[in-house]
Amino acid sequence: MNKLFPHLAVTVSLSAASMLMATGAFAADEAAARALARQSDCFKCHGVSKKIDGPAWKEVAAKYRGKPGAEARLIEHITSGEKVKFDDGHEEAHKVVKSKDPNEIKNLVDWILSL
Amino acid sequence: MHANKLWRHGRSLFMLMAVSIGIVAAPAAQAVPSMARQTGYECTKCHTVFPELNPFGRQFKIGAFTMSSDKWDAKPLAERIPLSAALIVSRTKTSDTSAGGTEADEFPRNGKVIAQTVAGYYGGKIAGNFGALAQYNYDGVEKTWGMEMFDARYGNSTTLVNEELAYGVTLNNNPTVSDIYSSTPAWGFPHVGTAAAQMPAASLIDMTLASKVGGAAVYGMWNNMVYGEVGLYRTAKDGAFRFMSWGQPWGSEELAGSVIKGTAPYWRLALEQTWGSHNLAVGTYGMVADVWQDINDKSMGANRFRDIAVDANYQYIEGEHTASARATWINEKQKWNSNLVGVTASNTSNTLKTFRTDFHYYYKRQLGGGLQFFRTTGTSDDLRYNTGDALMGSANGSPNSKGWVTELDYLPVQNVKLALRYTHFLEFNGARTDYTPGRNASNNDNIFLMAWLLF
Repeated sequence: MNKLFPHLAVTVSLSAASMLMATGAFAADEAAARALARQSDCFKCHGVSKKIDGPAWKEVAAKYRGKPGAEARLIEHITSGEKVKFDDGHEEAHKVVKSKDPNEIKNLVDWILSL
Repeated sequence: MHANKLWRHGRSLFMLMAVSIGIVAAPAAQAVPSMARQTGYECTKCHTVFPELNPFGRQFKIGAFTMSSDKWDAKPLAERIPLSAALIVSRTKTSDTSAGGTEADEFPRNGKVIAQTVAGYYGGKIAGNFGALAQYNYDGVEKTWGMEMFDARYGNSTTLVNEELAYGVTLNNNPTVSDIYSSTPAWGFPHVGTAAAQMPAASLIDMTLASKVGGAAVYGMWNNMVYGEVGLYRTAKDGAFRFMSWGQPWGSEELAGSVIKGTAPYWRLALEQTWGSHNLAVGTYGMVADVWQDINDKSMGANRFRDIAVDANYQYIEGEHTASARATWINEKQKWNSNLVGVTASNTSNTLKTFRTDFHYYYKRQLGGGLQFFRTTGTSDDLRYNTGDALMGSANGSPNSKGWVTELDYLPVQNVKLALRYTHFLEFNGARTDYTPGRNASNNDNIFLMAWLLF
């Protein structure tokens, strides 16, 4: 039993950590994330809880929360300039976030996923 | 309509189209306005059909027109000056220019194809968080140059109660020109007036002060839901705001009664909500101003105008279809200086109420049009309205007018609008028939052809 407890504790801790990382709940620096979002004009299209031209970020978080690869998918979405489709049917390249720092970009995505 | 009239209108439309197609096809014309060049987006990113803003366009304006693409930012400074131009070629034909004894010079440029507006714009970022939309133009009806529109602003954003608050300061020359919705007077339909002078009486906030005042206002949009603005306006006849009224004939008798005494407060509050492809905003706006009766004789005193308005702006954008509807109702209370009662006004106070509502639909943002109903009602005042003027007077001293406007639009490209508009008056200055002796409301009906080009 004494040998089992450390293994159990490690397993529980890792599981909890991975769940928190998946939601981004503890990792994100909100102020830094908002600052990068403003600098990148993200809020022109996305509200935190309101749709503008693009979906509300709370909707994005609800769609991706807990899904494997969510963080990587969203990082790809905001850094690659991939095509996105709008309500009126037209497609255009999604604006690329104005940072080359992977940690800043990850922080922004983690904050969005934590909403 | 007689065949020869149809032929004349058809010939005018053909001429307007030829002019517009010629300009679009001209190799020197990069038919892309400055804001589209700056952002890298097409016109339809910000507009349903110009000049009406969609939700993204409103965010762009709130952000002081400063959003730009990386490609734009990398250009040399000289290539980043956001200049644009516009040309409006039009023909206005009033139904009857002589009924009731009206004179031909009361219908300037009637029946002629004219360059109604030749405009230069500064439209976009100045530097950092500062931007502007300013229009200096030639008015082909009045044959004068002037500052038609000026709105320089600073925009920023912060967090308030866990949501974004976009805020800023605007310096502008017309109450409501800073607004983001098309239901307020400065941005309402019809966006371009005809050359015809016969218009119903207008309240102070309903474009009466356009290009005659200068003001500063602070504004903010919280959570893309609550929009507010408060500001103060002063006359632009002289002082620091003088440049905002360049071109106004200040020395003329016509503008002697257009000078605000002191400062006039302006306010605006709107609530906006989006459901899928539907967007609705409802709000209120207004101002209170004391206006000199005659700036050249201040002993006549000033009159107080209190305008309170409500408005609604609806948009539907889905696939190839865009539809929008707007309504505004302005209630103006006019309190006349006691020295003037019995001289320029019969009553100590009057009301003037304006209602307008319109609906527009466009297919592929190319082909469409709209229908508007307008109505003005107010207190009868013999000295105010029964002026004896055959065109703009009222035999029963009433400002009451109502009618319909219908317009068909075709946009061969995003920055060119060809329009055919018909304005029909059911009532003008108090009557359907003989509003002045021998002249009926429908004599003021007019057909307007327009080619509006932005480049």
